[in-house]
Order: sequence, then C-alpha cells, then structure tokens
Amino acid sequence: MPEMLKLTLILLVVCLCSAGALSQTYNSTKEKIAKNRKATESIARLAVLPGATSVSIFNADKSVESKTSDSAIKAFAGTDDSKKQIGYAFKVSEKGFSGDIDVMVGCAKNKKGLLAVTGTRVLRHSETPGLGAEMNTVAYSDTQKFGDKAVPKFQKQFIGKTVEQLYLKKLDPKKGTIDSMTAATISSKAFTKAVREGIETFKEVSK
Amino acid sequence: MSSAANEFTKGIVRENPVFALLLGLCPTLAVTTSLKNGVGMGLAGGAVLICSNIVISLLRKVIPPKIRIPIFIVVIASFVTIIDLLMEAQVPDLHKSLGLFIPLIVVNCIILGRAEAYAYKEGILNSALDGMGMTVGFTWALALIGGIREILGTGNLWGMPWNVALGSIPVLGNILGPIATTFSDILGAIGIQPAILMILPPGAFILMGVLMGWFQHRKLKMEAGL
Amino acid sequence: MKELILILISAALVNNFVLVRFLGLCPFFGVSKKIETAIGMGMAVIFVMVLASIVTWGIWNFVLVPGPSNILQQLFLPEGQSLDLTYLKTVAYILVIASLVQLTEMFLMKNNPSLYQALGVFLPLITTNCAVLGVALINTQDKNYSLAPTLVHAVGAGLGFTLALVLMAGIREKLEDHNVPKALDGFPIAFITAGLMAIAFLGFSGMITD
Repeated sequence: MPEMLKLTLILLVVCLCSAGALSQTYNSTKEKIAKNRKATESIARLAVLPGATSVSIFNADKSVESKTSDSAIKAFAGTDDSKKQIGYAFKVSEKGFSGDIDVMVGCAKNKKGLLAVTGTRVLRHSETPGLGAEMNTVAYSDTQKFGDKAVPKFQKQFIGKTVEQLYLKKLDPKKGTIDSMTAATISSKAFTKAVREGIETFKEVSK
Repeated sequence: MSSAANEFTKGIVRENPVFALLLGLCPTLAVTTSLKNGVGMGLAGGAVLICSNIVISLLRKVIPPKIRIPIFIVVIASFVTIIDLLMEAQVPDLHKSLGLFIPLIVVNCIILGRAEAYAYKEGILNSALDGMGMTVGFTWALALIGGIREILGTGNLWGMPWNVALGSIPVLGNILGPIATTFSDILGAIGIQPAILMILPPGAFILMGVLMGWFQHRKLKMEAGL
Repeated sequence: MKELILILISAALVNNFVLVRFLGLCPFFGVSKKIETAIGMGMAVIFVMVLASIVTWGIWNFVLVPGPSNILQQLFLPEGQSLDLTYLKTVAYILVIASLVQLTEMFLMKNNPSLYQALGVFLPLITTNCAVLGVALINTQDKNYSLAPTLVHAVGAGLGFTLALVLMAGIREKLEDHNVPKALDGFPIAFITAGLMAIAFLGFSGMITD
C-alpha cells in the first residue's frame, strides 16, 4: 500500500524534526533551568539566617526520619564572614490545603539556649490566592523598604519563637502565639506545623 | 480596509477568540487571577499560535489531508514544549504561576482551530497576520478579565496596590495617582474590603457571564438599530 | 484503601475538574444542553481518561523519567548515564490521547451508532478536552501516582466531569422554558449558572486536604 507508506513516512519525518527541535531547545535551556531550581533553595537558606554569608552541610553523616516528610531533614549550618555560627537552615514539607507546602526554616539557639526561629521562606505551595497564599504576601510598605529581603506579614510572627510557642492562638489558646490568616486556618495550621515539627526533628539530628 | 490589515484586525474584536468564538476558555478562566498572569498567558499562547500558523502554512502543500490533524498536533505540541522550556529558563516566576496551563496550551482550541480553518489554506503572510491578530484579541480579553478580577479580588493591580499601579503609568500617572490614592483612602476608611470570591473559580465564571451578557446586549442593540 | 477513596472523592468533588480546576470547559458549555447527550459525553470522557491515564503512566515511568526503570536508558546507554526525556511529555501525551479518541470513535461507530450520532463533532473534540490531558499531566507530573491511585484518580476526575455536565444540562433544560433577558440568553446565563454551581462546590473545599 504505497499511500499508507507515504503517509507514515511523512508523519515520521515530522516527528523526527520535532524531536530534533525539542532536544536542541532542551539542551540549550537545561543548565539555566537547573540553576534556577537550585538557586531558590540556596538563596532561601541565606535569607532565613540573617547575617550569614555562607552555608555548609551540617552533620552530613547523621540523618533522622523527619516527622513531616518521608525524607530525612538535610540541615545546613550558616556562618558569617568571621566564621561565627549564625544558625541552621533546613527544608520541611507539610500537607497544606491544596498541595504540599515546602518551607525553608532557619533556627538558632537563643539567649536561653533554646532553639528559636530566625527566619522562614516558602519554597513551594499551591494554596488559594487571596487566602492561604497570603502567607507569602509582603505588606507593600515593606517591599518599598526592604525589597527582596522583606518578610511576609504572616511569617513575621514566627521570628524569635521557640517550639513550645509555635501553635495557632485560635486552636491552642493556652500556648498559641501565632495569629492565623483570615479564612485560611488550614494553611496557617500547616505552615505552623511544618516549622514546629521541623525544629523538633532538627533537635534529633543535632544531638 | 486592505485585505492584509483586515486579517490582522478581525481577531481583535469582530472574531475575538474568547468573546466571539468562545475558544480557549480553560486558560481564560483559570489563569486570570491577576493582570500579569493574564497577559503572560496571552503572549505565551500567542507565541505558539503565530509559530504554528507560520509552519503549518509553510508546509500546507506537503501535508496530506488524511493525516493533517496529527501533524498539526505534533507541530503545536513541539512549539508548546519549546515555549515551556524557554519560559522555565528565562521567566521562572511567571512559569510557576501559569503552571499546568502552559503545557495545556496544546489543547487550546484557538490554536488547533486556526490551524485547521486558516493556516492550512492560506499563505504564510496572511497566516502570520491572522495569528498576530488573534494574539492581540486573546491577550486583551485575558488582560481585561485578569485586571478586573485582580482589582476586585485583592485590591492590587500588577502586584501593587491599585492606586500605586495607576500612579506609575507614565505621564497620566501624575494625575491618576493622587486621585486614585484619595479614592483608596476613602474606601479604606469606610471599611471596604476586596471581594475574595472574584479570584476564586465562581468569580471567574460570573464575571465571564456578565461580560458576555454586556457584549451580547451591545450586539443586539447594534443589530436592532440597523 | 482509604487513601484511594479519598483520592476518588477529592477528584470528583473537592477538586472537581470543571468547577474548581477549570478543565474541560469547552465541552462543558458545548454539550450540556440535553441530559442524555451529557451522560453519553461523560461516559466517553471517563473511558478515554482511564485509558489515557494508564498509557501515559506507562510512558512517563518507563520511557520519559530518568532512572533504573527507564527502558530506553537500560537498552541504549552505558552504566551511570541517565536519560531525561520528561520534556517530551506534552507531545507524547497528546498523541496518545488523539489515538485513543480515534479508537473510541471507531468503537462507538460499530457498537453504539446512536450515541455516535448524538455526540457528533464533540467526540473528536475530546482530544482537545483539557481535562483529559490535564488528568494525565496531574497524575504523572504533579502527583507522581503509582498505578492504582492513577486509575482511581482518572475515574474520579471523569465522574466529577460527568456530574458537572449532567447538573448543567439539567439546569439548562429547565432554563429553556423560562424567560431569560435577551442579553443574557445563551452563553452568558450559562456562565453565571456555572458560577453559582462553583460557589456550591466551594462548600466541599477543605473536606480533604490532599
């Protein structure tokens, strides 16, 4: 059937051209894409440890099953220019309202020797715009003052708090210190839980 | 109006892909939670449309009618993948906001529709112009919906509070800015809050219905007036 | 087992493909004028979705994703080198879907010609139904489900789509007998109806946090 053959050949040629064009594009963009993916995490590590200028893997030989996700927490220690310890940064994941929320948490021992939050950064989320997604919203006046370093309104409350304090006021009136976001209790709870359990797991790793 | 200019302008109002032809509804409603997303999607989809129109028109004499649909699909899907990769490399934030809907450009009925109805039959220049006109039409429709939803739903425009956004328009901004800020302060003093429903799915459907109703009303009036 | 039921309910109601995820809108507004056609379309879509999900699951896990399970990698590349073909997903999936729709058409033409006639031009348009491509992409790329959750998710998505379609058809059939203002007649009122349905479905949100 010469016609069938001709049709198949034409289709094959088109597919081959397509495959060629695609693999070309893939090769020329793959490095930039990999760089973009990595950049988010390393920028986040420095952002949650104010004052730190470099990070390195902490306790590479120890890893403990994290309560929050199936993968063990990989912690990074941050130091400033004079090699002084600023704190530790690690990524945690928690089921949010409409998908996983990935958070970079920074913590350090406070004056009382307890681990307290130094900073947080949301790496990935699929929460509802206007509701749960507000966890990432920076007050406009802060954007003008601090630019990229501005901390979203909801996350500001976490700085300086220790594990015992990381509960929502709404759900745990006795020990809660965090105000949940309007109409986004589930997202607020997920974020708070992520930070709290992250630090608890880190305590295990750092022993 | 000369024929070439006509090919370009018809996609903007008369045969607007969203409001007149009712094509490409899924991205129209899904990504228009903000003006920026709407414009981004309009341009991304448009890029695919123009490229695929040109290639299909170029190859129209060698594409056998029996297998034209699979070939259209391969061409369109390839351009979508190329745009997807380029966006992930160059504009990662927009890429993340548009998410699932970038690969879904491949099933955007606008592109397959124009390939079948137009690019397969017309010359390269006309196909390119048709693609560009449709892109403008698609983008302004998405921008309109995205803009309205963003202002009513969050009080922002292009990521900034709406009065700041208006104030940053060159030249006009000097007049619009202070007026808008005064309005914004009054609204804030009364205690008016954004209507979150607008950026949720129901808001998209209802706004679309209202806009289409308004356009249909205008069309009926025009036809009655003749 | 419980997890599978949750996935089913989530795909059908909480994250309804039409009213929450905005997928499958063209047939939603195009085929929803009569309840019978809506049910027929829904069944056809469930059929295509399930088949497409299975085939794309296989392609994603055994051909596209780099790693030891990648057949091409094992056959053609030396030890240690990985082959990442995930960027071909769009092209591969849409070709699979187009072929499956073609097969469904031929199947219906022989076994249920009346349904084939009733669906008309909307049957080949299942290819461009973003819900079908959407479910394949969500299964493999977003959620990385194994085979059983993939199947359940596809069935749930199809059921949710059918539910939305049938509900809309029921309402539109009723609307035919009522006086709709001329400006809103046809699509405008259909969109507003969809909006009200979407508000109702918002009530499901938060039921399952997946």
